Amino acid sequence: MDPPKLTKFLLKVLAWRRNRAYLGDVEEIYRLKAKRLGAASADRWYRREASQSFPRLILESIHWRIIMFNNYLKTAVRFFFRDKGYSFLNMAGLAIGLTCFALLMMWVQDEVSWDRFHENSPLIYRLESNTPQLSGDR
Amino acid sequence: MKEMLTKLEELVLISVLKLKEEAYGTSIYTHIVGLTGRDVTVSNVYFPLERLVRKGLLLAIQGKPTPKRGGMAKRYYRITKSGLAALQENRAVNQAAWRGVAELIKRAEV
Repeated sequence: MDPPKLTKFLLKVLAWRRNRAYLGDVEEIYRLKAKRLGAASADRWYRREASQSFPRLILESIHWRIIMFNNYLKTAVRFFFRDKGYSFLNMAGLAIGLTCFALLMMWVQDEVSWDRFHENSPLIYRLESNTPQLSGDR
Repeated sequence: MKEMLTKLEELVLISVLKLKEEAYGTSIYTHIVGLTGRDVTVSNVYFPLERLVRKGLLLAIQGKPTPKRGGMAKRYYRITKSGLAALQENRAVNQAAWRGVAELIKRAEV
């Protein structure tokens, strides 16, 4: 006499963190119904209950996630203002990294953008030769 | 204006009051289904319950887990002073609103 497995699993995933007592009540009512009206009718009730609860349970979990995210944000801001030196280092590192990335990207883009308009442009090659000179700067 | 109770909140409060020590999810649910004769869902009962707890009209008490609930603890509810006050106010409003309505229904011609 157990509720439908998949439905129970989904319900558990959604309600485990905040609505454990609700899970217990659903289980208890399911057993009552199964004893009184038979397993088939109880299963039907269970599925209906679950499917009608999903939207609200999902909304609720999103709601709490947003609250948690706001909390993380707040913590980050406070940390930023408390440890200014460390934050500066952190931010500077990120800024330098991003700048390097942007510059490199621009360079690479420029390098690969030559002669694209020719037909069969992948077949174009560039020949280079270095001629060292005795006196020279090279 | 102070927020009025919704119908479901009103029913939930009344059930908690009537069930006294035995007011938890399952008993409240069965009581409300018995009262209304409609198939409300358990979560339909839980959301007003938790809202009332947040508003301070109900008090939630954690119970002990039992095997027939799949190992899950019960959550008992107790009505608070402001819960009783809200119910009293609700009753007054209802009574005022319904005064003379029965007579009107009987006499109304449709």
